[in-house]
Amino acid sequence: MTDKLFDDFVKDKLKSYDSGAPMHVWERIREKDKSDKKGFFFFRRYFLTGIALLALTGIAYLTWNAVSNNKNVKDYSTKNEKIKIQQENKNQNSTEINKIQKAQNINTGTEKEEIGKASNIPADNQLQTENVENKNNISTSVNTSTAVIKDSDLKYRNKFNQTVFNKRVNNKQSSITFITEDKNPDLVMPSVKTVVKEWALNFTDPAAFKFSKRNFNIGNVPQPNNKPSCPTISGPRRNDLYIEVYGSPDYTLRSFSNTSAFNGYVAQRKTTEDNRNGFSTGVRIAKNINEKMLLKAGFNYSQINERLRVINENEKQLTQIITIRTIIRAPGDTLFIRDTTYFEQTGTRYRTFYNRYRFIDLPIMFSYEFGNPDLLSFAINAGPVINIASFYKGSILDTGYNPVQITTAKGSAANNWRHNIGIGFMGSIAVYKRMNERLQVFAEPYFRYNFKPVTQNSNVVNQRYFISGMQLGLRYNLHNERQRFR
Amino acid sequence: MKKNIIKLSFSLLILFVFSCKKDSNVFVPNNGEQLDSAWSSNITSSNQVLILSKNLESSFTAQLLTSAVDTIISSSSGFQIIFPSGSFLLNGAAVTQNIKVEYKLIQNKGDFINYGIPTVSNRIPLESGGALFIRITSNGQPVTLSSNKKILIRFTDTNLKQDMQVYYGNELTVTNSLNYNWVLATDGSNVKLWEYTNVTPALKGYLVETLKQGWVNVNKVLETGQPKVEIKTVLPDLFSNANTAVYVVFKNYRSVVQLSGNLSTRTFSAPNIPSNQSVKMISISKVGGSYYLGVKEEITATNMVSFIKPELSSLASIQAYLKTL
Repeated sequence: MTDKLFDDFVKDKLKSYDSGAPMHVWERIREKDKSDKKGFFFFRRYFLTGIALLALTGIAYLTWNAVSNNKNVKDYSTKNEKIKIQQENKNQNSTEINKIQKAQNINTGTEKEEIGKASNIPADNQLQTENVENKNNISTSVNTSTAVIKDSDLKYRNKFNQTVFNKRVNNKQSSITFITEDKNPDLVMPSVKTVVKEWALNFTDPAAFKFSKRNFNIGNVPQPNNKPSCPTISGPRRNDLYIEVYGSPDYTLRSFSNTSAFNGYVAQRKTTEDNRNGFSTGVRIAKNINEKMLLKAGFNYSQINERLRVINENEKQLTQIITIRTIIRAPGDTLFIRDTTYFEQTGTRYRTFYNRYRFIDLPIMFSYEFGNPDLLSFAINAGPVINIASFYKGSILDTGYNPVQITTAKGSAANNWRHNIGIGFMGSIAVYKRMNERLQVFAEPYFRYNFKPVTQNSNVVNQRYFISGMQLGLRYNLHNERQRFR
Repeated sequence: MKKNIIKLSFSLLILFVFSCKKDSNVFVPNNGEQLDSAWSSNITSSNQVLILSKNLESSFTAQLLTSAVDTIISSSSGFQIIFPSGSFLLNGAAVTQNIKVEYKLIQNKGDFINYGIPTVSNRIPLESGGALFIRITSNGQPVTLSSNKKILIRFTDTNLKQDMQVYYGNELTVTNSLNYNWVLATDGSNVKLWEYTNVTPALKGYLVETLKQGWVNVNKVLETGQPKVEIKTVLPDLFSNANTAVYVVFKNYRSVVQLSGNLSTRTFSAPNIPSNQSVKMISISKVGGSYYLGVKEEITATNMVSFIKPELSSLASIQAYLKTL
């Protein structure tokens, strides 16, 4: 009776007890967890993605910042449009100015000569035309501004300061209000000064302001003494954002580094493997940092192709032959035959493996551009190439000269290659040809070298690649109708 | 124009990217190792089955003799060949020089397979007392027998059969057994029994008088008192009449019959086989460079279809097995 009570007590206590999984099961789970983490590569992938995001974010920030800073540029553009509208009245105004010239010719011979020079402005010279247009704006400017500009540059800018005159042109009525002469520049040039001031107020960049005060010439191409940020006649400083798509046939050079003990193995590898060339393709974003420098970042997919040919003589081959037959010996007496026979042959086996080594990279390139974008422009590019992932398909010879599949498993065998080949260096020279306002085609011979081999450190030989090629692609400007570097 | 150039460039690029070649693995058999499992209506010397027959063929014993005197070639087993003097002609003239005699006595059933001389006459099985091959040459030129001159051949046999007759083979040299046929000699050749009882055990055998060289056989039609049936055999699809020879070897008779291949039914068959006989169905094959041997014991019967499964073997193993028959 007592025993039964004790049994019931134990049974009651252990009724819901879970014996748990055996210890070896937990060991297996722990092993699986370790293998799932994929080691350093697992971490590196996020690291590289972070770098890529940082680069792209930087480009986006530069783009946004440039847009914000050029807010006044829009105002300026508006004013230009306004000037252009007023330019329609230019011919009429020119007629009036001619009348003024005639009037001046009557007064002094010197003035006649100077004004005559001014009236011979070529029609296609936009810069000079602006000067004329500014004169047309005088009446409006005087009404809206009370500031006085004391700038000796005005004397330099305006060749009329020797024969100072004061003009007032009523644009609305397209007629001359009055014309006076004065020896004092401060008194005789209020309207011109006011126009320059308005220009200056629209430039947030002091360099732009300074440049605006200079005398504009036809075909003004920035010279080395020009500030890169200075605007040209057609707009403010450069603010381009390109997207580039390209493809490239690649030529690869392979190199081995090994101990002398494996010279024979390397020689055999060189004999049996040959280069089949490869290709690259990619997409990247390019954002200008200043007038000539650009930062490029994107994704590049490249593939190296090789061929391994293995010839094995006196190899045995077994062929399986399956026989299924039905023999009717007599009515009602049927023989069913099912048989498998193996047939052995001796011969030569020719095996060809088309190896494909694939790399996904993040190239970050610094580019220096020069030339004339309307004709041909050029760029010199250089920067690091960060490998995101590497994939291999194919076979190579092992040290026994037998073909084995390339793997990314850890080990010291010749076929143990890297998941990630790390950082490399890339350099190129590009030629751009404009197709239209937005589109350019480019050809870009380049080279790339990865510092790490594709093989793992513990391998009997180390195998590296130097890749060169010719990227051919399209470049599309996402910021159209912006000022371009000339 | 520019758009077309761009389209063309990208089309070429896409073509370049996707024009990937596949791995290849090609096995080229050595010469003579090709798989030849097709059935053929016309077996030629290039077929593996004839190559196999040549490979199985054993050599002959050779001996130099003088033709001026009566000569006896004898062996310890009681085999004797007696050449009368002046019985050889070379281009119609008597041979005065030494002659070379090549000979071989076959009494083992396996040797009938080795030499490709199954005991069949016009598709009727024969029972043999022994087959003898004789070839005489002088300085490499064939020598003929003078008229009315006979070569006497005496050999022993423990199981003498009555009513034996002389048959000639249809070929001077060994060829494929597929078309081999023994023809009853009608030129006065004959066979007699002999027995020598002064020794123990007593010796007995056949004495053959032949007027021809080449294959000479002491035969009679196989008679068992049982009805004659057609037997068939089937082999796996690897084997065909182009690479395989199938024989029926009687257990109780010195008789070996080769089955002929039937292209339409892909079977091997032989008619006029006495039923209710204990036999061994033997297939020998040469496929590529490999040899196969198949053996199956059967009792002959009406509508008999025997399935033989050959096993990978070697030429030496096949020859060794045939010696045991």
